[in-house]
Amino acid sequence: MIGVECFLSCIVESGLVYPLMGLITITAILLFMYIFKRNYESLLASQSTLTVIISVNLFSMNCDMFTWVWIYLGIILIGTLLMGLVKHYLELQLDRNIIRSPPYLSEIKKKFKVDISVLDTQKIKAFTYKNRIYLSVGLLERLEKDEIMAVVAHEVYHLNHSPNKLLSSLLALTSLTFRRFNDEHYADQYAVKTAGIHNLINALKKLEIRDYKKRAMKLSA
Amino acid sequence: MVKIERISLDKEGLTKFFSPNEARILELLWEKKKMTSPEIRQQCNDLSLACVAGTLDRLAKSGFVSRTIDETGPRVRYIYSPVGNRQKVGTKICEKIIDCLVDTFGTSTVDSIGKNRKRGN
Repeated sequence: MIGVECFLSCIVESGLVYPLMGLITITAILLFMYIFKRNYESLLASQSTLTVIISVNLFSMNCDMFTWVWIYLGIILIGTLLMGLVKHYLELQLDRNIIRSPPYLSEIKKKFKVDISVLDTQKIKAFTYKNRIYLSVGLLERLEKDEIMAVVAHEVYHLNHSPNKLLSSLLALTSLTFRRFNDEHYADQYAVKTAGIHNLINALKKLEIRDYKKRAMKLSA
Repeated sequence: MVKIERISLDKEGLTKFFSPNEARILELLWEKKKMTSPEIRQQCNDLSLACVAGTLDRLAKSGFVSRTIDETGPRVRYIYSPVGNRQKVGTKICEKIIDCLVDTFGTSTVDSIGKNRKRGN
């Protein structure tokens, strides 16, 4: 028996038909919620249930032809472990490059109730990692306080609304779906609301962000 | 940056040992002694901000320039200065090249340098 027939008989024999149907229904509901509400939590939840469905299907298969699937899963496992090691190394590097924050950042920290660390590099860097915002000296030395506020507001949006990139990539891979975290425009909108359009556009311009004109036009529209 | 495999003897001046942007910034710092990064950028306004920033980071990391953080003004900023003058950097590069030649050719390198020195005198 090969193909669909083999697949169906394996599922029926495993006794997991009803749990699978339940999971498929939950996934469908979550996907509909994501389509209509566009919230990442629904997408991540639906990807998680899809991963469970795929895993249950794989575990219920008894045919020899599925040996390659186990090999593939082994490779994914090793890859994930290696990714974890690389991530750990990058975290160590990040910690080594942190320097004392200038006093004027404390007001911004208080306003947004976030932790901000300053990175010892001339390069322009602003990103979030593990509930913390990282800004580089290169960025701070080019911007006025209000413009820094706009950058921090942009990052605060990512901190509160964007999914963890590694988690979403992993879920997209394991659920055989897609990854979506292109929410720069929403973060820009939040920054405009919090710090003013003028400050955000000025910051983007001073930092020579490649697509700043496009982003500014989109915000002004 | 002064990596033996990157040395290009066919190029002009400092670009034999540094990239054109590194050489340009080093020359600037030797001339002015101390500069902030916006001042360096102003002098290299044909280069992008990212390019200048990357070059400064590389020069600082490899020890050819030093930087301190100045918090006295309204903004935090780096102040760059060269670690050695042109002569000191020249000595550093020569030592690196001689070490490499000694590793490869052994005592014949020393003999050769000695002969050339006598010829020079």
